[in-house]
Amino acid sequence: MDSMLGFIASLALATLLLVGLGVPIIKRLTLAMEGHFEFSGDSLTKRSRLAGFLYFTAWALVSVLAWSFFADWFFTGSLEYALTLLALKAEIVIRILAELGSD
Amino acid sequence: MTEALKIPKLPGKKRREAKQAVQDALSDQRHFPCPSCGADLRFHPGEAQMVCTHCEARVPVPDVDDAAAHIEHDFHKFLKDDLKRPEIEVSALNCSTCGASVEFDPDEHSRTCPFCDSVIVADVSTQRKLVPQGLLPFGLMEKEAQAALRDWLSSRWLAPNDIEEESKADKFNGIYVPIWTYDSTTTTSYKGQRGRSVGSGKNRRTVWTNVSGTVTGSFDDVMVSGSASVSAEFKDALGPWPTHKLETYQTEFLAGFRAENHTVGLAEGFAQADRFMKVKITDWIRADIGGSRQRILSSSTSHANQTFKHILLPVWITHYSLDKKRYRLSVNGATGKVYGQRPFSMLKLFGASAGASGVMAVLGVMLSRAMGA
Repeated sequence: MDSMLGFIASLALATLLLVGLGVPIIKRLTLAMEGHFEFSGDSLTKRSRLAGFLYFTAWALVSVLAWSFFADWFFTGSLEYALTLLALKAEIVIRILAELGSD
Repeated sequence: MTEALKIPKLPGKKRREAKQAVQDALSDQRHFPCPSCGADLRFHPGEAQMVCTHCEARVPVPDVDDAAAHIEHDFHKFLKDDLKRPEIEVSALNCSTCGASVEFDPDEHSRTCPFCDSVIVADVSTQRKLVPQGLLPFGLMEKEAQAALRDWLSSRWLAPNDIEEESKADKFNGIYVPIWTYDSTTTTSYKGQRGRSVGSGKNRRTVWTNVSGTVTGSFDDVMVSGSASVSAEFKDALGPWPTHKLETYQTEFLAGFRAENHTVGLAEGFAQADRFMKVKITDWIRADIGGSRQRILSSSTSHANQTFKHILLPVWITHYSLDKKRYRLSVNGATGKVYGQRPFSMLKLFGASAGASGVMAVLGVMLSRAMGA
């Protein structure tokens, strides 16, 4: 590990950021889920409910990538290597999304 | 159609007298004296009859054929004013904040808008209002609406623990909300492209073929709120409405309740219904084009057999306060379904976010190990 202090500070900052960002997203997801069970299927608000699920999915994806980056950094002890792996994973995710989009 | 007829500007005393005269005349339309004691009769939702507020005498609502409530009226004839519909004059309070126009009960001293809870400062005006052809009578008493509200509040996710005990709900207002329902048969001509995937892997691509066609379909009872203060979300969230139970409009059903006047006109309402229809028509076009992907380049829809109904739907509306914030809640007066604004517990939201982040962290570590870091 290049710098344990740098790692811990980055991890703490990322945790705060991801949890803080998650608060409005969880709120939106809760409203979307309540709406999913309570609103009629033909509702014009269906789009806003879908947005609630979409925001959560995006947040979950970014979170998993971020945590895996920190895990790579911790296990390999190399920030450069962890960044390379993160770029690789991001590329895989983007390719999967592009493939899903084209279908 | 709704047309605000303000009481003309008269010197102070004469104006007060004129206003009082109008209000007295209008209040007679809604007041049903008890045959036994002369006190006011109120419509009793549980019993579907009028009950005296003083001696509890029961007076049944006159039995009228329900057929009039379900008659479809010709949309174009009405717009051309060929179809005469009865109108009445009502006294209304006009909310300058949310645009609601609620019938004014001279006995009621509160001048707060039941929809947005703001103090109404606008003047009382008389309005010429189209008489609705039918209404769905209140089936829920105020106590039942309160119980439905308590159940709803207690089932909210991530809400404060003390939401039921701490929330102070105001008096419930029983309001009939104006609704337009539209029927239409649509014919849509379109031009588009059908996409077909060819190849595989990196060579995979979509081949587009030009297509055109016509789709027809019919819409039955597309509901649009006749009130600018009632959103589409509000109407949808409280639905479905048991419209098969519609009764022919009789003022007896309104005794003890308030009715909102329609502020959205018939043509304006159809424009809103058309937006809903377009979403469905787009689905039909996509299904007609077929293939794995579709592009709609242009489409043109014509409507035929356009008819409408003008009805009233029952809603219990209240506001409650929690931590100095006000929330609006509505209960479907026929089914008890609740919709409204709700508070969140910041502590619970933060906990849920931290918990979800914890799960993501475990998945992240698993991903890292799986990729052989």
